[in-house]
Amino acid sequence: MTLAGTLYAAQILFLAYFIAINSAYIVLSLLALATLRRHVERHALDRLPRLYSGLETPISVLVPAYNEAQTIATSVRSLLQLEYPEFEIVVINDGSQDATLKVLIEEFRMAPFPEAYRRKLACARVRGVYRSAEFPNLRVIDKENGGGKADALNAGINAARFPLFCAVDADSILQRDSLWRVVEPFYEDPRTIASGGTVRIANGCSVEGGFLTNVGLPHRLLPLFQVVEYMRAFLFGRLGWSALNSVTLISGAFGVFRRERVIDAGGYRSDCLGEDMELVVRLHRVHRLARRPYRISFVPDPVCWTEAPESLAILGKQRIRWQRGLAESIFMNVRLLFHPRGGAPGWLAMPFLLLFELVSPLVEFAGYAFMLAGLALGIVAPAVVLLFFAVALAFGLLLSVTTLLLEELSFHVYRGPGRLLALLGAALLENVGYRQLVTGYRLVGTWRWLRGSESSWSATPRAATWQKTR
Amino acid sequence: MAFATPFDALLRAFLYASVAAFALSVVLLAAVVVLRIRLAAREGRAKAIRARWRPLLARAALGEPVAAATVRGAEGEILLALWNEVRESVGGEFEASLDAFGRRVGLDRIATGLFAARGVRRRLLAINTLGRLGTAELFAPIETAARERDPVVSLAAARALLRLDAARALPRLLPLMLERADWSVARLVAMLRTTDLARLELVLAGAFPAAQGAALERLLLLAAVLPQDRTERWARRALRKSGDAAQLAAALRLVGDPHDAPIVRHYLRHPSWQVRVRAVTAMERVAAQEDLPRLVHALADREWWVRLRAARTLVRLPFMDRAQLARLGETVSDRFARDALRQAIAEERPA
Repeated sequence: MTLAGTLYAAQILFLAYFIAINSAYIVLSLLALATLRRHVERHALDRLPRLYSGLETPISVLVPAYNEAQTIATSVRSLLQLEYPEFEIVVINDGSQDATLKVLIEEFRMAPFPEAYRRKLACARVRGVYRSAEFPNLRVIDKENGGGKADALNAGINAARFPLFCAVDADSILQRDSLWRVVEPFYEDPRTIASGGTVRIANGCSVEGGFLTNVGLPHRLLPLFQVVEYMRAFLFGRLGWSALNSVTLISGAFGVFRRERVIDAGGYRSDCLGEDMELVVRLHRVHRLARRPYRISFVPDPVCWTEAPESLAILGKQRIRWQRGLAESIFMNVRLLFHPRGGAPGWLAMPFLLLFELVSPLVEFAGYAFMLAGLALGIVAPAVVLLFFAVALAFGLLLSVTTLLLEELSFHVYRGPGRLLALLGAALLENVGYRQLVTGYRLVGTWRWLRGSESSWSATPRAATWQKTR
Repeated sequence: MAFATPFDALLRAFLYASVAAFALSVVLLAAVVVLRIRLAAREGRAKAIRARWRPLLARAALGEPVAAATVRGAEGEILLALWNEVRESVGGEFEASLDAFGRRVGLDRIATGLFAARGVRRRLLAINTLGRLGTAELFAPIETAARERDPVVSLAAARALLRLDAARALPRLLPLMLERADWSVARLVAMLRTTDLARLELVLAGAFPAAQGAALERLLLLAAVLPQDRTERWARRALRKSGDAAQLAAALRLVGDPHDAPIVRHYLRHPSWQVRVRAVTAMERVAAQEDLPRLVHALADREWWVRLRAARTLVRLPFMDRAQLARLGETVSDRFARDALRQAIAEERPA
């Protein structure tokens, strides 16, 4: 092939990739649309009081905490007010260097408790267990730092007494009925082994006593873009895959799992930055390959609110970590990819993750670089460069607007014309600059994963502005 | 736009694709705005309807005379939702007057109309209302809904049938309750608690001889609705005849008579830990002094849950006082057994 032919082929390849990736997302959004409509219809009686039988499956709420002294008391108080017939809260103090343990002991009258701690999953040494004199369903596992959230969660699973556990970030803001909503799939389908719900951005919202009291939008552009981004990721990313029983990520911020199945699969991996995603992908792999019936569900209801980074530095760290977690999740479970028993997760979700999530920053970046360099050198026609950017912008815009449509057809959480306008504006603007920036961070994440840099517990620093609104 | 390459046609296709994507985005943007405007209008109407009817419902619930109000065309669905919310929230004494008010304003007719509608949301609302206000002739169509594949619709229909005519519904629904794994036992138990328990006992008793496998397990779990002395005979039979761990575990939940201690003791040695854990839990209700060595032995079980349950049972036994428990803690040589006992004492009998 001549140089000119290679150049033309490269141009076509980049454009075709852009169209393929966005078409895949559009197919997902159509699947999500069907699932979402069905979900909304089927929850018509949600406003009616719930009937309790006493036979509801109890849940252990696991809260890993690392240097959370500032927010832990409010978080635990809000968790104690969750509406569910029977649950316990297990806070895992993962060797915090601040006063997390002291705050818990003082706020909740915690006293040392002679727990018969069992070690089903490996984790760092447990220094002691505390139980609240005020709330018998509240315990604290005080352990040495195990280098990551996975280790803390494994310690929590060891201490969990109930068949289901709910992993919650210490700074997650929940709704009173969050547990009920996320546990619903376990009642509707006994094969369910894991279930997650939609996570939204708390910046700009009002929070009192650890619960969301008023939904708002952030005033700054960076978190506002993330509002649209989260909506897109949850409303059609995960919901679309849920229709195919191929959800590959249940957010570490809030997700419910069947404890024994997680233990059977080996628990969370401490050598992985994306421990939440890796666990879900592994659950698929283990169950698919063993031909063990299972279902991993996703409920679209907004059940958890989390603070988004407001600075580029923190956003960058977060996205680099996510991208590395994605790469680790794929390659630690690569056997699922095109495995004869892989089903939709192995034949659709894994190739999608690999081709469109892991590789996309590389192709996107190479595409931009190639086009701009080609333009500068005069080997790519300006019309082709224009077309390249037009394709990227048009499909990006289409996806953002589709997300808003899904939101409008379902939960319409953000009320008022001002908020709608802000969202529309963000949906337009995020395609110019923000998405490219995130692509850059993801590229760095892929690079660091390739280089095999050390993994470590590095929770995203939070401003905890919602706490100040009390 | 002109392309001076051999790939002109392809590039042109890409151009059209991006133009189409832009155009579609604009259409969807417009749709979002239209939907928002319609939502605002719908919510405004709903607010006004709720504001009009809420005081009337409150007065009707209290049995106060309420002038015959007419339901306007667009009010039906919202009023139905509001009536259901109020009806399900208030206590027993207000229910009859709310039902009477509902019939007077024609909610039963509105619900019957919605029941034939296409959307699941409307049908659910209608089914729930007809469970309260429906008449005998609606039993058959609601029963058909109870046999639909959708677990949400079918379960709502089953609940409505139990409210409409429990005597007729129970024998028809029980086979479905035993068969449908997508009908959660927890929800069924909550529903059955509101029925006539004597009648339920008769229906469950009739189903026991033929029940097998998962159906027998579900039947034993549903039997938990009844008082323990009414279900022990079924538990005994399952414990004598069944070899299935899930059925045995379900049957052990129902055991409460000290005369059943021998059979419970037998299951303390069952190979399945799920059965052993239920057996040590049942010992709490049936154990005698002579069972102490067995429970102490269970404290050293290879499964953590059995150890902890055995410890809790020991601590809860009425004839075990603190001094005895302390002595037991000193004599137990197994470390895991000691740990379990210490935890149970701390939980159940804090100093």
